[in-house]
Amino acid sequence: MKADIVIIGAGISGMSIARELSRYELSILVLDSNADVGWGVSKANTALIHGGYDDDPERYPNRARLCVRGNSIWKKLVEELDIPHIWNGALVLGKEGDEPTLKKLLHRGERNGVQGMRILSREEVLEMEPHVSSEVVSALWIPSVGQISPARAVIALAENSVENGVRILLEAKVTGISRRGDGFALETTRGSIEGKMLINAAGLHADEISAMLGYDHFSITPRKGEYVIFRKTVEPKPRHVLFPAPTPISKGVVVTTEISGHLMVGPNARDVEDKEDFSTTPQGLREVLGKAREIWPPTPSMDHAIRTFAGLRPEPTGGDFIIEERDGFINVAGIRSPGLTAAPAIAKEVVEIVKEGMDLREKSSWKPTRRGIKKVSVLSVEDRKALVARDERYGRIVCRCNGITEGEILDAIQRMKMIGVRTPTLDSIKFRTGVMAGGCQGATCRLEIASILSREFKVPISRVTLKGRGSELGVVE
Amino acid sequence: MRYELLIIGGGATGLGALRWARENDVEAILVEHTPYLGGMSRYIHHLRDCFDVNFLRDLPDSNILLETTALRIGGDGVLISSRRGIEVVGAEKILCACGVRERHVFELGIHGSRVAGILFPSEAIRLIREFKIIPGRRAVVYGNSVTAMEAALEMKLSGMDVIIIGRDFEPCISKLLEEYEILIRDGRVISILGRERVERVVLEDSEIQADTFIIGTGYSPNKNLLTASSLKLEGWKIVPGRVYAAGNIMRAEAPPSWAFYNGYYAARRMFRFE
Repeated sequence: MKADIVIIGAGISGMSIARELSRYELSILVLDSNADVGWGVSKANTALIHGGYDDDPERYPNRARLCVRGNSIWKKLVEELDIPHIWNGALVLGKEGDEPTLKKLLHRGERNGVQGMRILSREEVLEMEPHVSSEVVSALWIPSVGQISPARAVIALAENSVENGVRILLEAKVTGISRRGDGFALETTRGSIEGKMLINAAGLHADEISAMLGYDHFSITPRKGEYVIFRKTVEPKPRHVLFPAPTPISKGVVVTTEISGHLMVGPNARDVEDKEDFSTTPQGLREVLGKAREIWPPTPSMDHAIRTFAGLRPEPTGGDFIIEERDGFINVAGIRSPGLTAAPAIAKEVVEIVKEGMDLREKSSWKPTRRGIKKVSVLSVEDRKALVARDERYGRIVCRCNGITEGEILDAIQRMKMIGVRTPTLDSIKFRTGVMAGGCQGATCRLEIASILSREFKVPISRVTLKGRGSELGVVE
Repeated sequence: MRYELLIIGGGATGLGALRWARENDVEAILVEHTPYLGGMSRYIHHLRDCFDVNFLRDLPDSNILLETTALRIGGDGVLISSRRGIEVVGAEKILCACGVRERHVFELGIHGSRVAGILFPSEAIRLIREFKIIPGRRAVVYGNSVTAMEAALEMKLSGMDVIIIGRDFEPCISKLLEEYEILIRDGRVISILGRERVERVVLEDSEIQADTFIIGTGYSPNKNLLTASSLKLEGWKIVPGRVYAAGNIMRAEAPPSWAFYNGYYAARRMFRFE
């Protein structure tokens, strides 16, 4: 297989770059080792579009510059690609003695170009969020902060990229890279690939990819963050994103109402050895709940949790995003927080780098929009009736907790196939529709969904997986 | 058409209520979310056919709507959704017999990895009986719920190694497990670890190698419909004279025979003594 540009990694960085490059007359191939897009760093994080007040422009110039720029691009992108989002703003809550920190953040934010920030009095904070800790004396208000679904964002970028001619090759793990002529030759688990330029957006594994070409000047440390999501019925829930005053190493445990309406708290931060270790720990979750209660005392106990999860941030040597070019090889590495926010801005910078090495001609037919994923449960009764009259499968509810229909599941399967998913996975359906993410966590619907996957992918149900090869429902002999 | 009684849930409770309605010429309709009747009792071997065969043979099909989900209880009746469409079914009285679901690992405070092989007992049973798939080679069953015991036996009979972690078994159950050479031990599960599949189950003082973990610690009432309808479950009369609850949505742990009679007598009380 050949392409002008090969991108390693179909996460938020890789797919943002692919979508941005799809504006031009180029053949673009995106590789990922997982069974679906966005399953590395992108799928498990705080899901925030940050304001950009937190990153020190002296120490982390890339983060400081790209976060603010990314925030404003997202405002347009969520509309173009119909990505679930909410722009509800954030409060950094200050207790006694935190005022200098809040002022410092305000000044840093203003220097970075963040708009509309203000320090609020205790009374103003309580009016916005009556349930915060009584120790809170003031807060920094950042109106530009928002929340999106990162998994849905990657899927949207992937669908739009594919509609604009990008190819995605999943379950293609890169095992070797060499320079050949003016370009690169890659060995992968899905065959040999040649590209003129190579972009490394391999997330947690970006250091290993870079080292394959001899560039081993940085390493990536997986920094684990653990989260708890509570039942929808848990009250009270904050209306804005709540941060504690930050420490030098972390923005702290955030309390939010995530976009599907559940109270979510997290993350902590702990460096781990294993880049595949997405497990939650008793100590970690205790820490998260304890810290959440420091700013949000009504944080419930674990009995009210519907899910816990952990994400890994790719912490690079030096702490700043690594965006650099070496003779046609571009590293986009160490895209840790605020990487989700910065991704569209990173993509624009990468296009500028590509332009230096290649003549780019804009396509006449580039399509900026994508048809969003329909959510039947939020439609009016009349709209639902009309929809079921057109397609009866939108009347059959499969996931009872979140009211998700067979029609939505079949649409998700079409979308999976369109971007090149070839192994049926329950997680692919979950990330597109929200099935199995409600109060029962799949007790009622998981096998129904597996049956639909088995039918549509024409494989026995024992070969349907939770999250790709090795996670089959039945024993594989 | 307006019914005298609308029953939500086709498990033992709902079928008991439908039976009473049938015997007393009360015009009733039952909606069931899944394609099957029987609810949790379907997973109990000796009961799995009895509701279909013994209690329903004389009921006209039109009184039972399968694969039909109640979305909301409203003023006129219940808003239901199915492939036939979305409509309000009018009813004078409504019985919520929504039953239970099995509890999941997060509610139990179990930590670890999100991996394949963590199954609800009903899933293990269905995989084996309905789909003819062996879920794994070595299972840890956590808890002593009715469906968990059923899953343990079913897996053992399929050739899997089975260990149960739990306590307070009925003497007849312990004896049965012993006969089938299923090991029982006490303990508390802290986390489940693995990469793609379950690899290890971590207890307070030890670890067990296993590729399958069955969450059998009990049930939780299905209150989705009540929550969606802004109704609270405080006793069986949810809205006196109109909306009632019966069966395991109230009690969560009772056997199907109790649930059947509870549904039967709930319907009787709703019409004769209210």
